[in-house]
Amino acid sequence: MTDPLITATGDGVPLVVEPNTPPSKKLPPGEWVKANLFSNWYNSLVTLVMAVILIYLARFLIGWAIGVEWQITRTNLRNFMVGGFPADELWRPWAASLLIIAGASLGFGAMSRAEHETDVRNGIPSTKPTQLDLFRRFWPIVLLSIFFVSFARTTPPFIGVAVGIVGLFALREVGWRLPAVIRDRGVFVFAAFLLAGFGCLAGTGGLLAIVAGIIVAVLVSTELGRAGITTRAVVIAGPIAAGLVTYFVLSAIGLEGFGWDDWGGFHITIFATAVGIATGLPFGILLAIGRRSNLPVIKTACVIFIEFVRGVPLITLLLFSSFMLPLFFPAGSDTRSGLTRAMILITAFSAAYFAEIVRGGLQSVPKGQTEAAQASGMSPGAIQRLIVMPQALRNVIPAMVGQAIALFKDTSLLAIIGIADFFQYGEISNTQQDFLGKGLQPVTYTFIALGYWAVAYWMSRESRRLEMKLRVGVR
Amino acid sequence: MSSTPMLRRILAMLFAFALVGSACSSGDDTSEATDSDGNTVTTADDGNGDDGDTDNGDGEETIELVQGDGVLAAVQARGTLKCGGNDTLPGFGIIDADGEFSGFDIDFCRVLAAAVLGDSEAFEILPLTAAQRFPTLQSGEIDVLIRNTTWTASRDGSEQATFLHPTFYDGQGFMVRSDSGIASLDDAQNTTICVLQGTTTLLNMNAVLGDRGISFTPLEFDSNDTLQPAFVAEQCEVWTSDASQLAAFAATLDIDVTVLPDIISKEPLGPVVADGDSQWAQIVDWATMATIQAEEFGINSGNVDSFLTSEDSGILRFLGQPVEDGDGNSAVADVGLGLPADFAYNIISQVGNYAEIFEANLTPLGLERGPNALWTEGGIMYVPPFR
Amino acid sequence: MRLAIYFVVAAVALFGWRFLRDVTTKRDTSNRPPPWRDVRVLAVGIQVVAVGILFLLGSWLWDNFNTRTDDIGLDPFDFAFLDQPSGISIADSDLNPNSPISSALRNGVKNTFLTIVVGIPLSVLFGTLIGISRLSENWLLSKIATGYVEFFRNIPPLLIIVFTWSVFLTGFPPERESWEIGDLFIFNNKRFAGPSIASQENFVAYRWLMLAALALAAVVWVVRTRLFDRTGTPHRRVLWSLGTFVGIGVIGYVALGQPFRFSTPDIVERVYEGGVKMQMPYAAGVFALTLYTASHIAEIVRGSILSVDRGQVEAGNALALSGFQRYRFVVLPQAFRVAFPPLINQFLNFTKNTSLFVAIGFAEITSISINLFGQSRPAPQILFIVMGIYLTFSLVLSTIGNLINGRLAIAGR
Repeated sequence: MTDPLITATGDGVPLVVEPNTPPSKKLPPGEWVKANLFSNWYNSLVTLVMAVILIYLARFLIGWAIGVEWQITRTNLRNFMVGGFPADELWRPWAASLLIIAGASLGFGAMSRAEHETDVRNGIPSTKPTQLDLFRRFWPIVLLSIFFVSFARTTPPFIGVAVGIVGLFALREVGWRLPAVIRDRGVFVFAAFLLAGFGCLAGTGGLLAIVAGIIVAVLVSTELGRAGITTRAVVIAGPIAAGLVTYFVLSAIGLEGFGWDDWGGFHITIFATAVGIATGLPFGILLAIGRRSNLPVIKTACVIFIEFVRGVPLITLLLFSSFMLPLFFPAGSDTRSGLTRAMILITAFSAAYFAEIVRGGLQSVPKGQTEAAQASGMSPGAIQRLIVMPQALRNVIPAMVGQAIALFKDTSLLAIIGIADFFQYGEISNTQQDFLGKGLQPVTYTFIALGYWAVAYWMSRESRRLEMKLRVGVR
Repeated sequence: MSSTPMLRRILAMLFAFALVGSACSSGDDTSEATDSDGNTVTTADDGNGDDGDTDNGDGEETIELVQGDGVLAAVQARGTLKCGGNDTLPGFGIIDADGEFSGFDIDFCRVLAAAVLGDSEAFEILPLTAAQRFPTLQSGEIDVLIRNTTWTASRDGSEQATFLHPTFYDGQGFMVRSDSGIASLDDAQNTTICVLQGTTTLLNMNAVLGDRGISFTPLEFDSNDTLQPAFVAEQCEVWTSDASQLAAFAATLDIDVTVLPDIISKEPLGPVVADGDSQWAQIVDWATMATIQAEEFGINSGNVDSFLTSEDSGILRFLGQPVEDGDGNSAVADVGLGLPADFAYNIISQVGNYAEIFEANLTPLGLERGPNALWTEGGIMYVPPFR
Repeated sequence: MRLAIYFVVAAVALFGWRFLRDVTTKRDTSNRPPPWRDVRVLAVGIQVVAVGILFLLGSWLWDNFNTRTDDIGLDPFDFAFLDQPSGISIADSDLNPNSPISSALRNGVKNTFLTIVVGIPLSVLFGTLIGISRLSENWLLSKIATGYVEFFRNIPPLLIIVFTWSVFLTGFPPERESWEIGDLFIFNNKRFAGPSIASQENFVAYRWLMLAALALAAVVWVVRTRLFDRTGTPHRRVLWSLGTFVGIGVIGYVALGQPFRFSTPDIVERVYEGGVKMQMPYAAGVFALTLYTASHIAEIVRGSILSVDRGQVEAGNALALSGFQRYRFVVLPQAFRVAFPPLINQFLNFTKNTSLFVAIGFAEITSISINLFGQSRPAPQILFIVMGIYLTFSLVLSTIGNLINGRLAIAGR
């Protein structure tokens, strides 16, 4: 079997420390050009050839971009973003996006403060990241939003994007200044906003109630831990009770919303990625543990599943969801929508890939760790949970982001089984009466490509940042 | 020995799962048995995998089960009609800039919603690829398939599908650039022909051109989004598709194109329902035909109210108005389809008659009525009497 | 239901058996944990439970599957449909609508295979170039290479394929205005054609002769290398081997009375005569996937080059090796060893991504299967076959890869 992928890009290159180069001297422009572009005859040749190619390409692209008619994306902007979402309910996706941005930047501010303080405590030089640093990290997303909104024909989207961008920067500051009590629970703050956002879109009840229940249970459990309560009954019953209460309360509220079958466009693309990660990761961890177990039956089952899913293209799995999965539901029952079925297979797909990544992480944890834990009398469950998994997962976070990027790109295949995702709206808008037969495909493809590229590029930058940070932190 | 608590917990959990699992599966067994009460099917659900002889019995059982529920009842309970449609077929099914479905096929879904539920907006469209149509219909995910589907014997026979009155008579045609020097199909020797994947168009092309001894290179695309640029850039000299589609593109392409005179197939397109529920099939059939009958009567969405007081008892009956019989008693006639008496009125007032639907969706594409004109006007649109 | 009972019985039997054994053999059990805490018992128990759950789940799904397929009159084990006429035709193949489905599928496999065989080496070559360029001391070159990687790595391959195809479509002229390079090459947006060898009399014999020549050339290569290792004489093995091969080729050509001739392509009435041809979608698809895969491979190559100890390069410098020699003999061989395992992953990805050619009209295996779905051929069997084919490709590739990897590792340390 091939080695697991364990780097930021999912390319599987072992972690590499770039050679420590001496601080580069500032050369005067003339010498810099000579040293970096024309140091010898073949370098000069390469420079010239590349410059010619670059200029030609740039001239072509700029000429094309100026001459092209963007009317099709202007008309279809809403389709591209949210598909056929009911027009008078558009506040829902807006509220969801803004709440998620708010939660992310609050949590982000809180977390970077916590990191900062840890560094200070450990004597590592650290300064508060400036707003410019924040922009450096988020520019692909910020520019993409501006690019998208530049096609809007009404004012609300401009306001929404402006609020989002300002919120991103302002709330990070708020998060940084939050009292330590809240700051330490930054993850839960983020989760609360995320759930609120999802609730605006899809209503409470069902999935939301379950997820909220689990999160509350985890929160209660960690709080009990913090409070130093170890009474067995309380530690077990408390979180479960809290989770169940949350579940029932939320289900009882029963706020109406729109299930994902009513979503479309970029929304579906983002959503499919998020669900693929959120559901694929737990299954992936289980599969990885199963694959490393020494119980032959469990191991074999896991290996077969992982190798099968990784051995076939995603498109065949999606065809399976479309043509065969309905046959596995009981006769006469609801076979679920095409998107739900596709999500089941996407979950299986990402679980198999995550499993291999996690397995790589598990292998990277030295055996001494487990042995030391065993020697100190910990139970196998505790060893996995407290010693091995944290180290293993930490080692492979960049690779997981890499897998997230891959999944994000792969969701474009949903179009092939007729799901109206971001990619599919290119064809849909070219079929409209006003644009039929006008040959506007290059325009829509460019628009779509930019959307995918900005998000994926942002994620890959983040993963590289994480990789650098982990490397510095660990070694 | 420190390992036991965790293993014990796992074991307990797995046992719990196993119990839940077996409980669930037994629950299903019993529910299926009760659903099909009246049949002498016992709890032999486990056996049908092993025992080939019971297969027939099982099949009948399910069909009866569907009948018992009935699509009509399901639609009424749900309050919306689910149609299988298309989102990228010019004129027939598209999504407009507001994210709404529109098109000729979509309007017939609307017709059906108006007839069954009295509300032409009470419908949902599930966009399907060509290959997904029949599996989706068979799985019961949609109530009716209105997606440019050609009525053929093999589909009627082996797809568990019932084809109903065609809404559009089409035929497969060929389109070339006007400057290509190809004037008829026989000139198309050794050309490359563009066609959409997984369609009957592709099968017809292969069969007919093979029979005529015309050799060609097929170039198959999964969407018009790639096929159209290929044709414009002359990667293929010929584009074959339903004549209505070709006409739509011929009217909009920037280049001069000619549709060849050869029409190689009959393509009657109409709504399709799953086998096994004849009441539902009849409902879909008559709702569709009502639009044509309305045109024949000269009733459209603008003037339908004025016909409510018509002198013509045939029209009154059609619109579900009380008709005086010989004895002077007036009563609303129920034709017994399971539809409201005024279903035709709902259709016409909310959606329109056949001509209106045609003109709203297909005339802008440059399509003529042709064979789709009424039988009284030289076409073949002829429907049985509504009485 | 019945299964659940078996299950409980099995569990009871397991514990009962142990209990009985302990009782009957009167073993000292005082320091033995009770059975529900005994790791060995639990290991078996868990697996029995796991098998049971898998079995229950499987049989539930299987029951549903059987009921459903019965309802729609489908026999998922009936492969007789493979002999029915396919109704489809494939560009540049002798497949006609009356050929059986099995041969249509075989054609699809062949086309998929052709994309892999050509595409993977191209990706490695191109990816290595880009990866090295990223490390170039030429600022412009390294920035362009970085830009290339960041651009192509972050766009869905499906989009890249369609994009590239569009560029080929409008960049190359239509057939009637084909670009011709001498008589040798023809380029248009339908096909590319080039010269080839056409067989004449004695060609079969000549082919065997050339095979033998190839073997001989290999032997010469080895002999020269050994000689070099032993005595240090410059080996010039390329020259020697090539000389042997070409020499025999020329002699054989004369001796066998011109067994082949060169055939140049020509378009007569839209028919391509002579030479070899390839479809534009094939070229565009392979090119696009090469661009995409190369962006990933470039990162692998870069990482693996950086992982080579700097001292190695400095040692090379000390030996007065030129820049090229340093790369060729010191850095790349070591980097390759690090890069190889992740490269295998990219090969697998390439193979799987060829399924996206469905969007640009190249008849590989997925495209053919979608056509068959459209004709309502039985989906379970077709999916089974198609997934099986991809799995086979994946397995073969990773097996080959692992074999090579094993050799590399042994040679290394």
